[in-house]
Amino acid sequence: MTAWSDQPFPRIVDYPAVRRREREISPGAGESQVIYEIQGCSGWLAKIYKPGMAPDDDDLDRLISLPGRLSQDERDLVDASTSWPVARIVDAGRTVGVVLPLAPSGYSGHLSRNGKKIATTEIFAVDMLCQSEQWQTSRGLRVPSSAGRRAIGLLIARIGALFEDAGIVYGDWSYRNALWNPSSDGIYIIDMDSCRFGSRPWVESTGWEDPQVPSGPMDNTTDRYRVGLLVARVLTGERSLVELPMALSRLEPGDPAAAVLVAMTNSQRPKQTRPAIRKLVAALTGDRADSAEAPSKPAVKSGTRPDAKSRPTASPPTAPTTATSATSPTTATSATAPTTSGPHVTNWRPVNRPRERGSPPGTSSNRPPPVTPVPPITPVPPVPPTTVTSPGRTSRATPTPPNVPGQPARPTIRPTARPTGQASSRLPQPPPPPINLGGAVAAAFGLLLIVGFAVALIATLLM
Amino acid sequence: MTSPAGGARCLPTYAVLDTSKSMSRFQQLLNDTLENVYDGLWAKPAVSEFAHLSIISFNTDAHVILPMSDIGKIDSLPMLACGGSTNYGKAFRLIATQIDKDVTALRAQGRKVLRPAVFFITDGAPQDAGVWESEFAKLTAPDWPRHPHVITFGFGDANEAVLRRISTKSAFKAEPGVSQQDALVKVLVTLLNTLINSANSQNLALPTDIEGFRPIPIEFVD
Repeated sequence: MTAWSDQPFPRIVDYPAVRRREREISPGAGESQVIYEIQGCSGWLAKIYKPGMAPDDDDLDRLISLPGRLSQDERDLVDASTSWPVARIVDAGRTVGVVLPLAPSGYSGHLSRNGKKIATTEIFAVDMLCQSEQWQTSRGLRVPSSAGRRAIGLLIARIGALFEDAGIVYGDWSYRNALWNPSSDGIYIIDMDSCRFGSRPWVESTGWEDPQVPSGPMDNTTDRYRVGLLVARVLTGERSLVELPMALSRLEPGDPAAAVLVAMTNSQRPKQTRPAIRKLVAALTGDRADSAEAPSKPAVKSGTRPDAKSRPTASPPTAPTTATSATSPTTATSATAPTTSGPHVTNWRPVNRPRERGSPPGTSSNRPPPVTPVPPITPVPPVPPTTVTSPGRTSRATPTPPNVPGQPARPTIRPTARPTGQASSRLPQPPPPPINLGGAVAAAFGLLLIVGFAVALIATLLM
Repeated sequence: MTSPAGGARCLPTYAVLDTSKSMSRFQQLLNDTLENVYDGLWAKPAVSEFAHLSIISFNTDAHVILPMSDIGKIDSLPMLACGGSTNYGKAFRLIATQIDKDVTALRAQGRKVLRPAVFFITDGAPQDAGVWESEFAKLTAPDWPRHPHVITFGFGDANEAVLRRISTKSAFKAEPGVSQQDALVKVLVTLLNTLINSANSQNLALPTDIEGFRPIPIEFVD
């Protein structure tokens, strides 16, 4: 495993030293022109930017050096769970790229269908975690337990809190930027080099839009929203914004994480009052005192650390202690296997194999069994009935007679039914703001006073 | 995933494959490559949710091989068989019929349906002159609100002038030195990558360069 603490590069590297490619990982997307593994530096990637798309030098240098000022625990987290940039690549005095650690092997591997391994290597993203049990089992993935989901959610929250404490705005929290190791339930955050300090330009991420920041610069309040959304989806497996509040209400009764997550993702709540990510960490670790949902502190100002926690300022990089990732025999990446690393498919050839007949569609629901709703910490209104649904099912293929020579060829198998999926046309229902217990006590006290006053008044009138 | 307006975006995508006699020698390769595209989509929930796929084959007649589907919910693909002549007109007519049906169904599911994308893949020139022209005109008529974007990929004996004429977005022809096998694989990988990129941007995101292919300039009249 490669990580920030064991990187062999100086903070600034000349492009010719890392120009030679061992293998291409991605032909590029967004601001990157290409991402490749550096020849002779196994496990280290060079990400080369498109012309004019490189981040600011000072921002990059500050980000690259930051782990050196963190505590050992935080640096362990950086090493195990982030592709933190380790060096800036310079060509003729101009920044052209960064060096990044490659995700450990447990974060990619092969899925299977009907018990047979699929040849193409897939990146395991949180996208696959936020799926139904049926989806996961049909692809040979281990189904995470509730405790496992909570551990993953906590890990994401810890990384988010580390960023927030350091004044980093990541901005692009989403399924595809958080990788998941199905064997160890580890999490690995990629695209770290595009984050900024204090604020960053708006980044489009469909399905993760902060309703209060439809465009313009983003600060850590948007990170609070997106981290909350990601953790909520991880904990519940629910992808739909509409269904999410109800799914959160089904967590353990009295779970403080549910209230914090509702407050973080409440589209009606002023963004400045969203709970800090550190509160989510406390809630997920069961620290009710620290996680009690109350008006939160204003968002962190640009580039400042809000906490007064002392940290070593010049501790030398040390080797990582433990990693949350692990390589499973069933998910190990083959060096020669075709890959879909990043958004593209490269070095890919079709695999000749016998065609299989489809298995009968699953009969079980693709959602966990219904749980009797329990009163949530924060009341969530009942969701109105679905207005448009269609049962999810799989397509079957039916054989047709063989082609007659000289006649137009017909497909040998034709599907007879069209698959449909669950759909909903409801509009999102914003969850209500959480109950303020202090306010409730005050209201009850006031009511008591009024009743007392009324009784006294009636008694006076009767006398 | 639900958009603020209440419905998730969906890109109806049609892979329209020439399965005429000239493709017979590539039949196994075509099926294997399609299977790999299917694997790639089946494994990526974000892509299969966004880009629903239908496969249409055409030769003397045209057939719906795979109805419009969320590939992540499909267990297997049917096999393709090749033979017969190359009648573009039958394909264009069937695409139009399917678009009407599929867009209606997707909208009924609450999806926000983007303009359909047709990936037309052929290794030969049309053999139904006088028919395909009018069918193509109907399919792409600007006054039909659901008219699709058409992207063409040609190799072998595909006619460059025809490819240019039936493309509304992009047209690509394999370079002379590229084998038909390689060209076929490249085209289908490009289809997969296009859908992955489109899912990331939630819009049709077409490639500008394909290794081994050259783009054919398209003429726009307005």
